Amino acid sequence: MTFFEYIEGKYELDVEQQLVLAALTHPAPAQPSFYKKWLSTIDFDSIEYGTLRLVPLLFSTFQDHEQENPYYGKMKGIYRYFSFKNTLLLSKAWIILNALHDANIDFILFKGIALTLHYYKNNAIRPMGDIDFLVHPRDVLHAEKILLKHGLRYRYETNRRILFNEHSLDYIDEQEQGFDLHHYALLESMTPDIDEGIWNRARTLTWDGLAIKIMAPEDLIFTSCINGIRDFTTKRYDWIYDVITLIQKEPHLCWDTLYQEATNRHLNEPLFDALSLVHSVSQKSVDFTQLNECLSHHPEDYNKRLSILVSEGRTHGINPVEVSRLLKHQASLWRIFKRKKILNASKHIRYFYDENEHINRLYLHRDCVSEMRHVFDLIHPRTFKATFKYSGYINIRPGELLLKSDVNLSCYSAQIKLYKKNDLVFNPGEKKEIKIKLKNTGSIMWIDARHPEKKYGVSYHLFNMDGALLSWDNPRHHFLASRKNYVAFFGKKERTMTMEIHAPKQPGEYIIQFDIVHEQVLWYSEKGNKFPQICIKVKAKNGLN
Amino acid sequence: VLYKINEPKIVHETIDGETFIINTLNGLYFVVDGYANVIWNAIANGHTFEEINDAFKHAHIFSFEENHVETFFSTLLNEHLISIAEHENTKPSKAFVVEKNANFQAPILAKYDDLKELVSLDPIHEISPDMGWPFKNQSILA
Repeated sequence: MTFFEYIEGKYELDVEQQLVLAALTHPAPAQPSFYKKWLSTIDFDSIEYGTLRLVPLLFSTFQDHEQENPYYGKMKGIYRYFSFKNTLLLSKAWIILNALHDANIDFILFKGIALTLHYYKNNAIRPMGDIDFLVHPRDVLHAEKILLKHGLRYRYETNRRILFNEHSLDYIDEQEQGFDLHHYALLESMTPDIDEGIWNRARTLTWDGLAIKIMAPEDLIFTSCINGIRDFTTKRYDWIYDVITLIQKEPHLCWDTLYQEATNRHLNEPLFDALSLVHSVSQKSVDFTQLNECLSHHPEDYNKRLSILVSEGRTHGINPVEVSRLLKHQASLWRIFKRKKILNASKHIRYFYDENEHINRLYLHRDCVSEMRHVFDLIHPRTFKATFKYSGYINIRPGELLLKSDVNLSCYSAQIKLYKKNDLVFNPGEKKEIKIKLKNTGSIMWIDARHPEKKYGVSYHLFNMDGALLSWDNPRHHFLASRKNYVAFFGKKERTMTMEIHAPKQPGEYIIQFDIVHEQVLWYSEKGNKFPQICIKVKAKNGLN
Repeated sequence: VLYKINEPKIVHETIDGETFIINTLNGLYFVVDGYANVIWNAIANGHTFEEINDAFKHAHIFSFEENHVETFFSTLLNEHLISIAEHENTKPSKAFVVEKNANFQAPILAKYDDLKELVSLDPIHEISPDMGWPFKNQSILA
């Protein structure tokens, strides 16, 4: 039972990431075409870290395509580099783990080392920053003594251990190779016995004569997902390939174990976000049913996602039959749909592509009908009025509707109002949220048509009390961002939002001049908009200023 | 005499007619290509020193007085990459044959012994674009 006909997660992969993962995961014979496309679009010298970590695997998979690869030498070198680093790290790990074994300390390997030893079986293709192993909290001190005895040292100042309640202790050797001694598997869940299931399910195997334990595949997937989503904003996406590999190599996975582990740790939401990313790459690995199952383990998250879709008018992913059936019985869901009328969230148009990458379908929000001409070019304008008279699903003849290459608004007109209750006294360097009301006072909606670098945001300029500019560019609160195959609209009604002010480090009084930015296009003040100014006070540390 | 590669402490992999060898005990990194790579893989496949040496002589690859194969074996032994096999494994199914190649040099074991530098060398920006890590970009060095 579900509302959803398809599901979108919170995060999206960019084009480069999609091409790399498609090259590695799509069934043959499609793979080389994605690989070649990736090669033709990248600047190899500036590839992101997540991609760098997948280069050894790309090299190994497409070694036969040397002729078409201008970066063959570099990629081969990167393969050798990670082979060298991983081999030395694994060699040291064997010695350390053998010592733990001799001292009767139980341990479980996970992340890179578990994947390399049991699944990839190649030292080069899965780069490792360190060796991750879990011990029982009662064994931590004993394990640390063994690490110290083998020439390892705690990476940070000792007082970090007092200041931060860590789930793991980061040890390094003289080459700065890392050994991450976990007493809890995850940063997000550090409660006694939380890892009991992981300990019970761990698998035993032999590595060059040494008996070791590695996490069960369900737990390897779970920890990869949670760690992966935590690091996703830092351009790490290589974990998605790990998860796909685990799923494909373990046909008898118990998905319920995965969902239950997430529920026990209140980590349903990041697990769902991670699995939706995997789903966006490989529907064969994580299908729609599994996503629904994952959501159904956490009704609050289910309702939250539904609420966002309804408030933004993206209800076309919702199954109307289920909606009407369930609304009759569930008051909480009815409230979600009713709120639709009072929320003033962004509105969306979704467009669908056929296999030739021509738009062949639209879901048009009724509030956005009049904005269509700002976003799309129509090959036959005469059909425009007839086609877009109604909102909802509309079939488009392929090739007749084109997304404009750029959407330049002619009308940048806005108003910002401040809440009176905002606290304007800061400590030096303090970051504080203040509440504002923002209104689009122009004749058309603001539009984000899939240009992630051209977001809209509210921000401020910083002046001293004499009016001299101290800092023009300051933190932005971006309030309009489209998603893949969506155009997002900011309507003409007033919307309340919060933005962050970063106080200077020097005590004194300063002027904050509010403004709105269309990134890489213009500041609204350049178009003659007048926005409020406020004076903030930064106190001296001793409070005497 | 039959030699064996000192696995698992010695890790090696061949790509494109070139083998990299890692001594996990001391962090030394070696590269062999050309005839050196041919010999290395012959050892890995279970051919004796005599079989390899005879094949080189038979193909007239080096002049009679040159002991390149023997010297190369000595180098491998000195670096503890190989040792005499105590037990004879199954004989390789095919006899070892080597062909003369004008592009190949006398066998050499290229050795990289600065572990710190090897690990810290940026594998994208500080290396030769054609050859990749661990070959440094000479223009940067200049």
